[in-house]
Amino acid sequence: MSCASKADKKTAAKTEVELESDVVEETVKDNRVLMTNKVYTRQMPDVLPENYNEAEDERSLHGNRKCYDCCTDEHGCCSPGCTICLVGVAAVCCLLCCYTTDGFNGIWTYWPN
Amino acid sequence: MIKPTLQCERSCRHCYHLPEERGQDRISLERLEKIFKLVSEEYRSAWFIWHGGEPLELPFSFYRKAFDLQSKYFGKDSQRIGNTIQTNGVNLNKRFIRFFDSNKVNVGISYDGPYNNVLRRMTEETEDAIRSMQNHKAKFTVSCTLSDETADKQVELYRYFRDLNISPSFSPIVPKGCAAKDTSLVPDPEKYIKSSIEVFDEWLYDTETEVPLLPHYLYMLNAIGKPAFADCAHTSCLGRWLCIYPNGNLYPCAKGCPEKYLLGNIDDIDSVEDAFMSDGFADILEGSVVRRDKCADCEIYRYCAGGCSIDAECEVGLENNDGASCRIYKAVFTHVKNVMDSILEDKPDMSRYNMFVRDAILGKLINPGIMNV
Repeated sequence: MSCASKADKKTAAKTEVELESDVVEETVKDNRVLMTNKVYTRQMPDVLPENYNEAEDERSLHGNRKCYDCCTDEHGCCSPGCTICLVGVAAVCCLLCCYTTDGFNGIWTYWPN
Repeated sequence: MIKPTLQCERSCRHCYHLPEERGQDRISLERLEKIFKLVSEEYRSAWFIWHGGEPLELPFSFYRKAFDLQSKYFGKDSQRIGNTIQTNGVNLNKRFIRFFDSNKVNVGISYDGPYNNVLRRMTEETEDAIRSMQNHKAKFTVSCTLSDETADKQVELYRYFRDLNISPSFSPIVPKGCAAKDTSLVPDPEKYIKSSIEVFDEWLYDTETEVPLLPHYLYMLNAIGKPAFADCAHTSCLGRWLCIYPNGNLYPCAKGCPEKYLLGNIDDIDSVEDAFMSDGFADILEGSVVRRDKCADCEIYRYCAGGCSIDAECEVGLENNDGASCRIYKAVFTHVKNVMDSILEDKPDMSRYNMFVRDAILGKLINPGIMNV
């Protein structure tokens, strides 16, 4: 029994050491890639933007940044949010126009007749 | 880059893949689904290039399912993705043409015009496919590969394609795969450079042309404006492209990438980042860093960023520059840049130039800020 538990302990200790060395190995490997990638990126000519995806977005929008927060990657400036905003603004303009030009038969018109 | 199969019945003499590599393996839809899923989760936009072997060795049903999978992960008619297929045209039937047209897939046909039989076979089938594409008014370009035998015939080839109203893209054979075994196919750089400059000058003053000449047109835009990031053939693109083989193996490039740069297998990774954290990727990065250090003082480094790593690997070793591809790009690009600079400086009568040059110069003059580097 005691022999078995000794062996178990030994195995457990060995596994722990192996796991630890795996983690160290993994970290060293990751560091190697990250460090090299950093140097590689730094070597890119300064004309290349740091954030490639941002540049792609600008290019796909014909050199323009997104107009408003409601513009999305999938639909650009034709997203449902943008459409709602546009319709809303148009409706408000209509109401104001009617209000100021006696469009409601003067009921709500503040403009003096 | 997706290689759905390495199989190809045309067996071009300069193929990136040796005959013994071109097995019957086909990529499974499960692997395709996984790559689409991982890319959709980690990238806001992506471009898929279907390459091979011959991608159209796979049936129509495969592509219908593959595009359904793309829609599943990126959305239907998504603006986040695009597709290009590079084919020999032999299996490009009407059903494929309509499908690619409706799915906005760029089609590139590998065809060397009147010299097609020098490197390739089944010329008649390819020409039938080209006629069929033209009859359907489908847009496509032709990828014309130049061997030592045809390197000095670029003007003749340009005229041939121009008369057919087809946009040609010229590229020299690089000593990889089959061409590494038969280096007599690889063009003499000086011969290639001379002919490449001649064809640019011919195209420049060809006021009747309706086709852009590639890669010169890209060089021209590059010379007067922002570098074209997507032109992977002439820049250092590591980390921006990934190639999947039929067996799921991942490589940084589709140009017959050496086994030592294997990034892992799609079945074993949980994210695209895992592939870019592999030893294979670290190895190619490290070699490229050494090469780019040597390039830093070159006057065109800002345009090529050290050039294609795989081209360098096959020509002079990953850590070295001044291989044939480097010399060709440097000489031809410098010529194009000098011509564009002199046009901008001298402001000559623009009616002498073709419409692509006129448009580019006009754009530059109207809004220099947009195109300035």
